Amino acid sequence: MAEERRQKLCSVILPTESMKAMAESVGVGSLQEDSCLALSEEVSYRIKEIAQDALKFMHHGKRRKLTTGDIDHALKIKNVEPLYGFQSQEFIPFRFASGGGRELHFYEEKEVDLSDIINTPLPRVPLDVTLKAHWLSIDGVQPAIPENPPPVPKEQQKTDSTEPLKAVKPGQEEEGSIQTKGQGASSAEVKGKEKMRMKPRSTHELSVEQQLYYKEITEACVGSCEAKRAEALQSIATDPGLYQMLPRFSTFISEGVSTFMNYIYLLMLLFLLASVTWLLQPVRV
Amino acid sequence: MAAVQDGQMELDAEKETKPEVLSDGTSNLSGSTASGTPLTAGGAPTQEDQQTLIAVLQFLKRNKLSDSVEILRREAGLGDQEDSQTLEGSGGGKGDGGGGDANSLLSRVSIPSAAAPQNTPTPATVKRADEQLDVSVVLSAYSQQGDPSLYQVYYSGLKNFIESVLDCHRAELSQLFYPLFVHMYLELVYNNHESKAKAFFEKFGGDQECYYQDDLRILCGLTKKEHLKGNEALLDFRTSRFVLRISRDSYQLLKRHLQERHNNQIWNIIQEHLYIDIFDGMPRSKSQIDSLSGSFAGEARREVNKVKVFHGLLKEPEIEVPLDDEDDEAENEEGKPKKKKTKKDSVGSKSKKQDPNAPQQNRIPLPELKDSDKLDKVMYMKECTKRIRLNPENLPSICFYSFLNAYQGLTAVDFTDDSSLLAGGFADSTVRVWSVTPKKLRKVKSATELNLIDKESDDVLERIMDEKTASELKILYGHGGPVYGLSFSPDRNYLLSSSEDGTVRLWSLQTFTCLVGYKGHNYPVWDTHFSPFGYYFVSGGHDRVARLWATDHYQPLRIFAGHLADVTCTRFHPNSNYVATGSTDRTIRLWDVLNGNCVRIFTGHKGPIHSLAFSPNGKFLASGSTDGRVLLWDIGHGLMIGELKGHTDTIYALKFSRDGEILASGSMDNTVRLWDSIKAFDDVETDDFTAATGHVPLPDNSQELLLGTYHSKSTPVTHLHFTRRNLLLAAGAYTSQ
Repeated sequence: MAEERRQKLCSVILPTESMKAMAESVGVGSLQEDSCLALSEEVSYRIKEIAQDALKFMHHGKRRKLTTGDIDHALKIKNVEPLYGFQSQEFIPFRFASGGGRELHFYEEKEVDLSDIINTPLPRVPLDVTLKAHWLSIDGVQPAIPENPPPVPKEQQKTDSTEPLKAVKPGQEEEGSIQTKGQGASSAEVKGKEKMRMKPRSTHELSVEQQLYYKEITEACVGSCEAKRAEALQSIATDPGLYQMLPRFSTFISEGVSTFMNYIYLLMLLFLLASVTWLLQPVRV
Repeated sequence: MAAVQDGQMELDAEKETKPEVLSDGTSNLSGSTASGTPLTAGGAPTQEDQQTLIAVLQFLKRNKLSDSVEILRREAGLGDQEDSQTLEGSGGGKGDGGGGDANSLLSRVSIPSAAAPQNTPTPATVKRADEQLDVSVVLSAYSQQGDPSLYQVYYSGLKNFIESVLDCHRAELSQLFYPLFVHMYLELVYNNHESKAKAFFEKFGGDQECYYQDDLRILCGLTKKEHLKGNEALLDFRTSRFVLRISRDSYQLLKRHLQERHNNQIWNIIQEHLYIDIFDGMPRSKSQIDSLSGSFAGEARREVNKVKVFHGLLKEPEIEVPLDDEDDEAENEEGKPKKKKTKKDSVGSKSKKQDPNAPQQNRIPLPELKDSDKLDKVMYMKECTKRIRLNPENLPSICFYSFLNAYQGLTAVDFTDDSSLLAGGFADSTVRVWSVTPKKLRKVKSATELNLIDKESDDVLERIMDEKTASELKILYGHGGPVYGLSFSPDRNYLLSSSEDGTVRLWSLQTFTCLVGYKGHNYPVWDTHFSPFGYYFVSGGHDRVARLWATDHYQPLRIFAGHLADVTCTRFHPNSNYVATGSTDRTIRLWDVLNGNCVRIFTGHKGPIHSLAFSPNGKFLASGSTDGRVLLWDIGHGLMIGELKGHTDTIYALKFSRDGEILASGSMDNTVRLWDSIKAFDDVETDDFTAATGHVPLPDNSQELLLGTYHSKSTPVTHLHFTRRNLLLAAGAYTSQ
């Protein structure tokens, strides 16, 4: 870990071949190796400096993407003339060429015919900035209107339920239950189990019925009776509302795999793996 | 209108002369390599020695050793040119630079003498630089401290020692690693031992704390002395002293160990570049240290945070509130005004007598209330009565204003206090003002038309408004760069905008034209804020200072200098006596408006600070930064009292509800989060004992304090505002990815 961190921090400089290539493009014929090295160190440092200043503009512009405008403003701070020709393009495409023993990425500047520019019809004016208001939350609850993001997806609910660290809030509880209702939860059983889940967050106790179910399933999965196993696997795959048992099943499987690895009970392993795949079937609540 | 004397300008505006100072740096740095070598007696002194000699000369002059001065001058062959640069009476300018901390921060290692000829047009600069000259700093800043190849040995030696001490001391002593590492590295670079510097960095750079990674990335690119000269922030870091707070026991351990080894350069470095603030008490744990560290120059010294701060609110002026029309009962005529009076009191100070924590009413001159202001206040009272009481069970509703088609250009937003107008600043340098209520925006008619109206009519105020061009949106053109800060005046007459072009503009909301351009910062101005009573405003920018202006003066009244990097966020305290500034150097400073002193330094953020909010009762400050955490500070005691974790991206908006019960935060991760601020402030006990040690054990209760998270549809939240009735308004630009 420390090694990786160290490697990340090592200073990176541009390769000296780039210096030669850039020099040639300007007209300077042969550049000594030493001067290339000195040049590249200096250039790399300046680029980093400009990038750091440009980051400030990006942060204040409330954006995550660094744009060419930021670089221009950074150059302005340093009293350097801005670069011309790189305005308002989200993505600057570089073309790749390899020839003369060197690989080169360059910005292709196409030659444009002036008469073409004059004669093409003007592009459509982009829409102006407008203001739109909507309710993000009413009395602590986020309404399910199109302007709001869709309610929390299933994966989020899964993590919510299986992670005891996330404490329950009255607002979020309501959100959760409202969202499940919004999704049209399949059975009353689900709702019942959800409510059971919400209240005693700290103690993950299974009801007697669930404990029996768990016992049956696990025994069936690794037992000898084929029919029972098939049924058990089917049940895991399709039964809704097995939230609470999910962690227990996964612990069982992991323990099983680690135990049986030692004894090369391949069969057991296979059965366990089968149950895993069935568990992971997408048909979950 | 009473005004603060603008003659009292803080001359700490050396940052303005940045380009010039850079050239100072050139000569200065070469001077400091004179190192501890004794003065070469006889012979023409070299350029470097000359610098040292001149520095010594000034030191002698300062201590009034005139005979020695003469002798030295004679023997060293220095001419009379030094006289012109001596420090005479330049003490007045600097004045109170906010404690010793600011002094050292501001002491540039620029020896003025050799640079003075280039600088004569600005004698002020020279005088200031002279005055700040600390000879000991000059002579020994990064002088050769020993064999460069042994630096690794020294550092590893220290590492081994610290790893072998008791657990309780280890966390505290580990604070030494980062500043020592940086100073040693910079010393190697400065003395041109490039390869050794690189090797040193590679070996030990990875061990540093994760929150210093940004700084380390900058450092690893710096391998040459010339590069070092161009980086002002690092120059300041070199000359300022990194502050560490260590308990007495740990310090004794360290001292004993280092003094045992006589040739250990680390002790020298510690003495020169580090300031160890020793406190008596239990050694701090790693988490306590981590919570307060992260700033560019270490933590704040405890003395700095001991100045008395008047954080109470000013008394609300007495206003007769007219009776409501609904109230018909004659006997309640007495009752109603009284009830409203007490309501007003609860909005202002608690009781009729002076709050000991509140500043004097006339400590800083504030504008008097005009009639229109009084009417506004009456409206305000009425709205207060209808205010919803918020608490964890009664969360505010949030109305979100999305800017569509902003094409990534929305850079600043502000609401008026009565939530009737909304202004947006954009990257295309325009400021757009929208009316949020059905009432349209009208501007005053032109002069020719105004001549035609009947001036005696009752509704003349209506008639001067131009109905023909009434619209919901008005666009203000004038800036030359993206607009980064916006602030409405409390009386809804003016709008301030600060931009990348280095100016702050005052716009009139009656005519929707620009009235004044305040030029002072020559670099992008990142934020601006009107005082809650109007007339004064503060702005902060890339030149690392914050300036206090009055609307009718074209020059700033105060310059708050002391930050090591750009000032990114500026806010007035509700009593208008203090200004808080957050900066890229990851500290927050509180400045006194009256004399420009820095009265508080708060460290603890791990990234540049982008939002600040004072609680309505004036006691607490909340701050948000790019590290996604909201930190809560007790202003009176100068301590961090809370940490709210939850956001995953920069927090750009922070607002307390009108009575301070709920703190709302909006961030780039497209969420608005509500936090229970009453609980956060109640849970922590601050008293004189904890204030003495400088830290409070923080409970890790972010989850309990989080009352709700509301996601928006890929719309980062740029601004938050509580209406007078405690409805939360949020604003942001819809980004389509």
